[in-house]
Amino acid sequence: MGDRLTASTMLQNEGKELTKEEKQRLRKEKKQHKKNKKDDKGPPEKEKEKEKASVPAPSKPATQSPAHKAAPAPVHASESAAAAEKPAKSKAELRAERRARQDSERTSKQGKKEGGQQSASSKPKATPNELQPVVKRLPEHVQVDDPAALKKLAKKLERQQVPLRSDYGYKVSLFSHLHQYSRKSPPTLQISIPATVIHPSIVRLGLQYSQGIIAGSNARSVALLHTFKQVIQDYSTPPNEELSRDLVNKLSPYISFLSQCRPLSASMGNAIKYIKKEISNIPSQCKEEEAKGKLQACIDSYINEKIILASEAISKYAIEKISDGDVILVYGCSSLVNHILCKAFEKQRKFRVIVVDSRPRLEGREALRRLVKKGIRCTYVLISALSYILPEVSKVFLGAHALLANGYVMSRVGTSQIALVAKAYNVPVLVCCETYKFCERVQTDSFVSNELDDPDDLIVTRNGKSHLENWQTVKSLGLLNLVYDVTPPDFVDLVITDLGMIPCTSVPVVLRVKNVDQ
Amino acid sequence: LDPTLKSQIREDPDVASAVAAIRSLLEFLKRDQSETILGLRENQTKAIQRLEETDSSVAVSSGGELFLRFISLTSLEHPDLSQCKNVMIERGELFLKKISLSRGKVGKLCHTFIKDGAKILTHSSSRVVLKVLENAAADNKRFTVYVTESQPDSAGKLMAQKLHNLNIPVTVVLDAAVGYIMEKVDLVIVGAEGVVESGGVINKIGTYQMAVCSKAHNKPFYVVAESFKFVRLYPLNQQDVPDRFKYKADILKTVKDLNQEHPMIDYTPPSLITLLFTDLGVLTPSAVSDELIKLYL
Repeated sequence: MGDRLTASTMLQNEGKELTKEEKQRLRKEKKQHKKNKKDDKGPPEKEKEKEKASVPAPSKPATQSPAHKAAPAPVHASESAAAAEKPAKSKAELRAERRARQDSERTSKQGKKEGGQQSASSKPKATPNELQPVVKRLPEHVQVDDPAALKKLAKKLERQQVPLRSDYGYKVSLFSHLHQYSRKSPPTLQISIPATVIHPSIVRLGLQYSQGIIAGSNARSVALLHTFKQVIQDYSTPPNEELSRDLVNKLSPYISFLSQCRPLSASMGNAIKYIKKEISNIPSQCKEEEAKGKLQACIDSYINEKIILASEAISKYAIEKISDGDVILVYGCSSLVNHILCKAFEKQRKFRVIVVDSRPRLEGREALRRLVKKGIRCTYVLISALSYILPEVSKVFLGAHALLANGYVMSRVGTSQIALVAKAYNVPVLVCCETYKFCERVQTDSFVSNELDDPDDLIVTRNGKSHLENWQTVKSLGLLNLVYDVTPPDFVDLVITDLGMIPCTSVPVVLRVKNVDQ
Repeated sequence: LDPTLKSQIREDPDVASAVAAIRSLLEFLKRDQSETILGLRENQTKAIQRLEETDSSVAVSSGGELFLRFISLTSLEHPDLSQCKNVMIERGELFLKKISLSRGKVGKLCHTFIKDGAKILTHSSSRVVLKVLENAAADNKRFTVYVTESQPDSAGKLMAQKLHNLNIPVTVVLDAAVGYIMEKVDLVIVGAEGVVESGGVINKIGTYQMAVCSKAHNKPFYVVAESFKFVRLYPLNQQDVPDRFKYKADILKTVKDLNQEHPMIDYTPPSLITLLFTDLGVLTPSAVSDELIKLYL
C-alpha cells in the first residue's frame, strides 16, 4: 500500500514515462486479482478473457497505430480493469488511475508532437512476460528454447509468407538456445516456383548462404548489396503508395527469409540499416526512376567506400607494420588479411607466412592457394600444432567478423585460442577490420550469441569407415559445430581500421565518431 | 635555424626541448619570405625536419607536428597573405603560451597523489617530475626520493643535485639496483619523451625495466607528460620503435652499423602503466587514444 502511494506521488511529477509504469502496475494488479479469484472458476475465466482482450488490445494499437491511439489504449485498459475489479480496489488505486487517465490525456497532446517516440516507448511494453521496466527485446535467434518466442516467430513468418526452417538433430544443452539447421534441408524446398512474395534473386542468395557457397563476412555483405540492387531495379511502386515506405516494407520478408537461411552477420546488419535509412530519406516528390537510380548509386558508393577503399587504407597502415624478415601467422581465410599480404609482397617486403587451419571448414587451404599463387613462401599447419610453431612467429594477423562495443573481437572459432597462445609467447596480435563491421552489441563470452553449423560436417570418412555416421542413434552423444568465438581485448595488441591504428579499447570512440558523422 | 635552437636551449635549460623547438619554428615563421600559404607550410615542414636532424627526440617531432596543425587548421580565408601570416603567428604565440603552462598544470594534478611519508622511485632526469616533486614539497609533504643513475649520460646525478637543492632527501641508486630497491618504494613516477597511440610511453632506456619490476611488486607506476608529447606512433614492441628516435642525431649521421650502438630510449607498453598525468587531465592508458583522436582530428 505504501509503494502505491509513492507511485501516485511520482505521477504528479513525471510526464509521459508514467504511462509505461502505470500499465505495468495495472498488469500486476490484474495478475494478483487472478490469483485471488482462483477458487471461483466461472467469473475468473471470463475476467481472464476480458483481460487478455484488453491486454492485446492496447498492445496491438500501441505497435501499429500512431501515438494518439496509444494514449486512449491505456485509458481503455484502466477503465476495463476498473470495471472488473472495483470491489478489490482501494481509494488510492482509484485515485492513481484517475491521475493516469489525466496523464495519458496530457501525453496524447504531447504525443501528437512526438509521435514516433511514444510508439517506440510503448513497443517494448507490448511484448509479454516482462516484469521489469524497459527490457530490450532479445533477438529471436538466441531464444530458440523459449516456446513463446518460437510461436511469435512462426506467426510473423506466416504473415510474411516466408517458410519456417526446422531445427535438426540433438543440440548440446549449453547451446540449446541457438538454431541448428541441416544443410540437406534448405528453406527453399518449401517455396513454390515461381516465388510470389520473395524475389528470385533473394531466393538464390539465400540458397547460396545456406549451402555455404558464399562464405566470409565481406563476401556475404557484397552479395547482399548486389542482390538488393537487383531488387530495387525490379521494384515498381504500387499506386497510392510511397516508395520510401513501401520499399522498406517489401524488404522485411526478404530479410526474414535470409535470416532463416543463415543468421545475419553484423556487417550485413549494418548494411541493411544503411539501406533502410537511405530508402526512408528519399523525398516523396522524387520520381521513381530517379529514386531507384539514387539508391543504386548509394549502394555502389557504400560498397566502394566501406569495403574496397577501406581495404586499401588498411593495407597501407598494415604494410608499415610488416618488416623484412618477419614470420607472419594467419588463421583461416580472411579476404582482408590475404589482400594485405599480397600488397605487402608486391611492395617487395621479405616475409614468410604460416597458415593455420582447422576442421571442419578447412578454410586455410583457400588462403594457402591464394598466397602461393602470388609467390609468397608459406607453411601450413593445423591448429593443434600451434604452440609448436609459435616460437618462430614474429607477428599474428587476424581477420574479424565483427568488433563489439566493449572491445571484444568476434571471429571464426579458433581465433581466441590463437590470440591466447600468442599472448603467452609474447607475440604481437594484430586484428584487421573495416569500420562497417563495428557493432553496438556487447558480449563477453561465446555462448550467449553464436551460430551452430550443420553437425553432420564433423563426420569424417577415413579408410572407408565413418565412425560418427550414426551419431543420432546414440542418445548421449551430441555433435557441436560452432562457427564464431569472441576474443577479449587484452589479447589483442592493435586493431587496424580504415580510420587508422587504434587499441582494442577504443572501439566505442570510433562508434561515437561515426554516429556524429551520420 | 640551427643556431636559434641551440641558443634557445642554452639560454633556458629549464625549458622542454619541444618548447625550444617550437619557439625557433615561430621565429622562423616570422622571418619567412614565401609568397603563398602552401610555401609557408612547406618551409615549416622542412624546418621541422631540420630540427629533428639536430635533436632527434620524439618530443621535437610531436611538438613540431602539433604546432603546424594548430596554426594551419584555422580558417585562413583572408585574401592578403600578410594577414594570414599574422593570424598564424598569433595562433603560434597562443600555442606556445599554452604549452609553457602545461608543466605547471601537470604538477598541480600529480602532487596530490604523493602522500606524507612516501618513498618515490624515479628514473633519470625529468623536468616535469621535478616540478611535481617541487609542488609536493611546497605542500609541506615529507617524502624521500630514489633516483637511478641512468647511464650512459649519468643524468640521474643531475636530478639528485636539483632535488638536493630543494631540500628533498634523495639517494642515487644503480640502474641494476631497481629490482633490489622496488620493495622499499611506495610508488614510481617517471617522465616521458613521447606518449604513443596505444597509451604506452617512450622514455629513457631503463624505464621498461622499472615498469616490469613495479608490476611484479604491484607498485603503482605513474607517468607525467605534457600533451604536446602525444605522438602518432604505434609500436608493437621494442623493435618496432623507429631507429631515428632510438639514437642521437649525430650518431645516426656518422655511424654505419647501428647494432654496435646503445639505444637511448625504450618503449613501455600500456599494460604496465597505472595512470598518466597530463595537462588534459588524469588519464588511463586506454583513454590516451581517445585524446589523441581529439587532438589530431
